[in-house]
Amino acid sequence: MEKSNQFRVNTPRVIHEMIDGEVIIVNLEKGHYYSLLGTGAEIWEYVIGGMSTPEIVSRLLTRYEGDRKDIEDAVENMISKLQTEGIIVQDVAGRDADERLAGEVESDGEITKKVFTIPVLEKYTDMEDLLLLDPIHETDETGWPNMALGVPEEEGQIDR
Amino acid sequence: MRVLYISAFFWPHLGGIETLSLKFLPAMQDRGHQFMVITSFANRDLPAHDDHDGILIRRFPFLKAISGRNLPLMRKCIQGMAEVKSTFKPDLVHLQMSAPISYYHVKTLHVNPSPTLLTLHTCFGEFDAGVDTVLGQTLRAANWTTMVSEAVMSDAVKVYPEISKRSSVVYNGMDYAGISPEPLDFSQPCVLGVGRLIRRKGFDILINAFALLRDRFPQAHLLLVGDGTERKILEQQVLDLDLQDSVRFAGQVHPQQVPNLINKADVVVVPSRFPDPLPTVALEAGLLGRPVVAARMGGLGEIIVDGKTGFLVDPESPRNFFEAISYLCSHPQEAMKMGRAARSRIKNVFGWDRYIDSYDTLYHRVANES
Repeated sequence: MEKSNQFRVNTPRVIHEMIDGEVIIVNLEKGHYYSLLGTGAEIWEYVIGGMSTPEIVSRLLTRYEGDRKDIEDAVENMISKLQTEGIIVQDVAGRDADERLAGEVESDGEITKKVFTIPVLEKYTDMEDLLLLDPIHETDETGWPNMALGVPEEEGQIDR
Repeated sequence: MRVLYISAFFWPHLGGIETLSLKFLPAMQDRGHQFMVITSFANRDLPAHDDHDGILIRRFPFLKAISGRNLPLMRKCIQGMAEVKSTFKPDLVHLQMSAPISYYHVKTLHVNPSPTLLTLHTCFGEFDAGVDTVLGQTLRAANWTTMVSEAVMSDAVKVYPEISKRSSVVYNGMDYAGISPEPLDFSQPCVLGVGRLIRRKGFDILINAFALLRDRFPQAHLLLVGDGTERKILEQQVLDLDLQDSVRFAGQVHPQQVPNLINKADVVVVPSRFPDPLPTVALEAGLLGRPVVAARMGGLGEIIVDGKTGFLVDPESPRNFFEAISYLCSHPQEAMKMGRAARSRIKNVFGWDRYIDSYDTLYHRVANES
């Protein structure tokens, strides 16, 4: 596979997390939030796992019913959107084979294929604007609760 | 009816929405509705599970997760919202839209799907309500939307025209039981400003207007109630204008104390330089028979009838504010007449029973039609 066909998450500008099958992504630079579900979340896992577009399509065809061309288009569109949004960038350095998800999978029997649904990249561009819109009464217009943006906190910590 | 009441802030935090909610929820419980409140911790050390006068409260770090861009915390919040929806099984969700808490509602719409009544308290003039926004998705997900003023409605229609088909204005209600107006005096005119001391509230304009007023009425004094990031700047402005003997900063006070302070004032001024949706202080002042001088901004034009219950003036103009306040100080009888007219208007247009009746009707309609 050509190295230019591999992508990586645009860190440190982008953070992401899989939450109950949904990928939530934040572009810290733009303050935009994104969400991927279903086939979108699956493609995301393959993309950041270092698989190329043909490899992703091959993998999806083992799991979903659908026209190869439709699936190819869907994968290319998704990768294009992720690039446009600055979420992923081409991985110029490339990755070694042991760092990548395998492109080919061996079938261990009959798999009931699901119908392929076109993935959607949901986007929320106003999350942080809304924080500024109605600041809590005893704080200032820079928003609530006036924390430095982009500083992740310990999981489970509450706003006290 | 089981109602999930989602509000970014709630008791013991007491801002305008929260103070209103504390009266609203018991009144709606009396109409047979059962509530569960979902809110944030509001930067306080509070329990995640709580109860306030029989109203169950669940708190999650909703806003902290977003402002800190903390994805694991966001995950907990989404899971928490989903868990409450699946266990409480509401017949209706009543969402108070003030901060991006609605993101968590939108993300969990599929869990125990129930109709949503959305209440807008804010003018969204410069916002985008496209499908790529929390605001846009929240507006689209709502089965019905109420706005606190025509100003908010007009603004919402601009950003999302379709909302006009399924929305209505419901003015906040004023509960006037037990609050009686004290007579206006004007022997030593007391001018009052109440609100957060932040730039958009325009208290710097009021101080400049007061400097002109004191030249004409040396006995006049100004009381500013509230706190905020502009306080030091405003205090310096008072010193620069040599007004320190006539201007007092009372700091933040409990909302229950505000009516007493209003009752000691002769004129209440709301100098906002932004479209203030429906400032409670203007309603309280009218209810207590005080003429209000306010900027012609946002919902203030719906509270004050210019020349009859107070004066509406161009924002950003200290001279206009001065002239209006000065007129009232010079014409106490007319000011008293305006105060009486203001009280009558607030009771008629912003009454409590009308408010509760409106929401009771809407709850049933939205739940049944959906």
